[in-house]
Amino acid sequence: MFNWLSPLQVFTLDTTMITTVLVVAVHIAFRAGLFNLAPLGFAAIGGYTTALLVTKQHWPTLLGIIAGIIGAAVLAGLFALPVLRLRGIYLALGTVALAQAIVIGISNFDFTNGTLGIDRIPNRVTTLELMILLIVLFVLLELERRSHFGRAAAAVRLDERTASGLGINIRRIRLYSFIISAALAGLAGALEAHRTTVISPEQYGFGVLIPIFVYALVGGDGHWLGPVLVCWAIVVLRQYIDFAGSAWEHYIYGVLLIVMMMLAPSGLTDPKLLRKLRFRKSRRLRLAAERAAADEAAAVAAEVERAARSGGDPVDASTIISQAPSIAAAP
Amino acid sequence: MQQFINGLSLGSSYALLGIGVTLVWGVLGILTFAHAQTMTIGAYAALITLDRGYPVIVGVIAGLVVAGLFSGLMDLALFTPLRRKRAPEFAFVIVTIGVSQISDAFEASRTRSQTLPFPRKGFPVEPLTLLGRNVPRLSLVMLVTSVIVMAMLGYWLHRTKSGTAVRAVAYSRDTGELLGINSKWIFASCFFISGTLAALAGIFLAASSGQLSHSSNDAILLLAFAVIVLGGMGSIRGAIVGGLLLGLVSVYATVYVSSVFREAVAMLTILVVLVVRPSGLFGEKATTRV
Amino acid sequence: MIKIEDLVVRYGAVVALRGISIEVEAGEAVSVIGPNGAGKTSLMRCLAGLIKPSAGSIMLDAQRIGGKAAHIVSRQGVVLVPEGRAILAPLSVKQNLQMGGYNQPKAEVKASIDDMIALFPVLGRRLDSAGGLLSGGEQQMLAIARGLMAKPRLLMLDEPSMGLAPKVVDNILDALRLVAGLGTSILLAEQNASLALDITERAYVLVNGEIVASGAAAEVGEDLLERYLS
Repeated sequence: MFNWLSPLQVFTLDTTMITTVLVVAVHIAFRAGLFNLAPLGFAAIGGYTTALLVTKQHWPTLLGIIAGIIGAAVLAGLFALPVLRLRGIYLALGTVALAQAIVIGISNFDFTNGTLGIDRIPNRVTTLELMILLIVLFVLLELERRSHFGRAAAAVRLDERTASGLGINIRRIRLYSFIISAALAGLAGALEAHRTTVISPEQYGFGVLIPIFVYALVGGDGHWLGPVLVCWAIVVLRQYIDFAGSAWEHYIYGVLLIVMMMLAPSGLTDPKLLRKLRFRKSRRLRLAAERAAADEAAAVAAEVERAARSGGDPVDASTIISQAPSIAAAP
Repeated sequence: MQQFINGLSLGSSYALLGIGVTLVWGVLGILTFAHAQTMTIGAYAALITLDRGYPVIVGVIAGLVVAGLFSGLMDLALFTPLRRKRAPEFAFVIVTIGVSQISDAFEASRTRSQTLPFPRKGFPVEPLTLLGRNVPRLSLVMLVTSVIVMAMLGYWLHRTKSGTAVRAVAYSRDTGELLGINSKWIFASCFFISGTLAALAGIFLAASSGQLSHSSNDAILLLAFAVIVLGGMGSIRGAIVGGLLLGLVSVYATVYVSSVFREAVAMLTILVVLVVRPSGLFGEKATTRV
Repeated sequence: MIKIEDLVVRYGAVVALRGISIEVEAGEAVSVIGPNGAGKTSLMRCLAGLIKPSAGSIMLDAQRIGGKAAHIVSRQGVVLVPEGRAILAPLSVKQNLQMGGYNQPKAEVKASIDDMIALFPVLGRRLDSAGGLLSGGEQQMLAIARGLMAKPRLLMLDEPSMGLAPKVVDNILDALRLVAGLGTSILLAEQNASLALDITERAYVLVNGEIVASGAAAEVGEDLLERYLS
């Protein structure tokens, strides 16, 4: 169906779609406020699980992929309880350690073939299947974003205490986000194994996570479409300005990361940022209203002072307040 | 016994790493991924100076100054605005990742990704025989240096006005400002000092291995984190003890369990400590930062 | 001495102070009374330099200090004892005091610490304890002493009585009266109106970000306040 594209372009398209799944995995974690640096570790679990099951045990590909997802999710569940007790940079550190431990473990165990990796994994993933998968994923994401869970997750990120005060079960939100993020990462890893047919521990190192982070951070926490579009934009850019792997790519990522954090730490789809932009229009109207209220308050204060200084009966505060509705109505 | 010495010698380099990170992370709470690059930049500065024929002491000073300025400028230019805007924690961490990306790319392009030899002449690298055992002289120097630095830092932080101001600002920047402390310079000087310590570690490691490349220190970053986590955030004493302990555990695990585990030891340490006792051996109780 | 005109403080879309004007003359003790959420803390923090004003001016004698950084404001002699004391918990009592005297010449700091111990003897007994281990009342005394170490021209206090037992509050009031008697100007933000009116000569009433009453303490009587604040 895609034979109007060159094989290289098809490959790029496929790997981009797989990367998109990974980007979504990172986004889901960030959205709930989890500073989670472990997605590649889970991708490794997903990739290696399916690779081993399919090449050594001759499982059918689909089951292998599903096993990969489940493997990642189970591992996430195991580590979730201790790891999720941590906050902020402790969580980041814990997840980095987890991911590194996974990669080191894989490099050093015999049954995973160590640093040589596994090759000759059957190439069973087609472009069409990937597209359908992505579409289904996007639909699910959108549904989920509008669901209670999605909004609760956003609330948890913004302010945990308030969210908990509102009755949101923070632990459960973080747990589910963590596991779903891991499962998606596992899926990406499994798909990648079957598309690129070769996997080895180096491809899951921390450096590979950096571009994904750039997409997720620039794209923002507000809407999954942000990171996805940023990812696609940069892939397209890479086609035209060939800088992959060169120093320039690292410069650009570095600068992007720094600039985004300085200007908009919650990314381009941050609801606060969007509101601020929409804010400007109605600003003039609000300022006028405020000035009117301020004038009224000043008038009331003047009256109270006058009454107090004249030494008459103690001023009845309630009558004055009732005469100045703006004060009474203020929150 | 030899293993014990090996462990201590490995641990001494870990300890030196730990001290560099503890000031910034332990006292100020900033997880800096740029630390590895700061080490490398310091080492490169020393390398260039030494290649021009200057004596070792000048090379070391050059490395310290360059790395210190790099670190201090990063704080002034990037972290000060973030602090003023009360940006969330992860923003600082991401910025350090960005800085390390840029720095790494810069070094890679300048050296064309080559590994350069690091001149070992003038460094105490000959082996030493103590009580019949083989003791790497450089490790001994590293250990002694770590202890001296620890003592100096400890004295500074606890018994001088400026050091106390650092602790005050680290606890609450607002309160420090209310007391008339200009927190901007306090933070910047801490980063400068941390940079010099990073350079010290970087130069020692380069001299020890005899070579330097832009990615020499990438793996080291996680080791440094492991040291701090084990020793406890904010504790300089902990950095040394944590470093030595980690070195010992790494060596013994390699010998008695399996060589597989050497690299994994640091990672497992982080995980285990964070789960069991997040405050590490000597750290203050990790309170929820609001 | 300090003159605030039409001060507006905004947090994004929320307006905390809607253009208020306050004056404190040298040697005066003035209070700002108001219920929770009236804007007292916003006012204090803005005066101290922790928050930038959105509009209006703050003048110290003839100099603009509105919008200046907190450490500069502190150096000019306007010192805030913040809400909740803000003790540097890991530092000892002595170190807290030393930090209070951060910008004072070294020789004077020692003498000042002795003065503070004379004012609050309990601090002298706990000089080497960590600040975080003190009781609420002791912390409040430490916070005030720490503020005084800077030899302020204007000492601002944000709800010093909060969470303290009445007897402890009395101790603190006595100390404040002493301080005021020595000529330091005082600006006191309080929810507890009777307490504030007890030790200050003039008062402003702040409700919902606006000054709704001001005058001599005796005039801004408890009666009026009860009607406002009940």
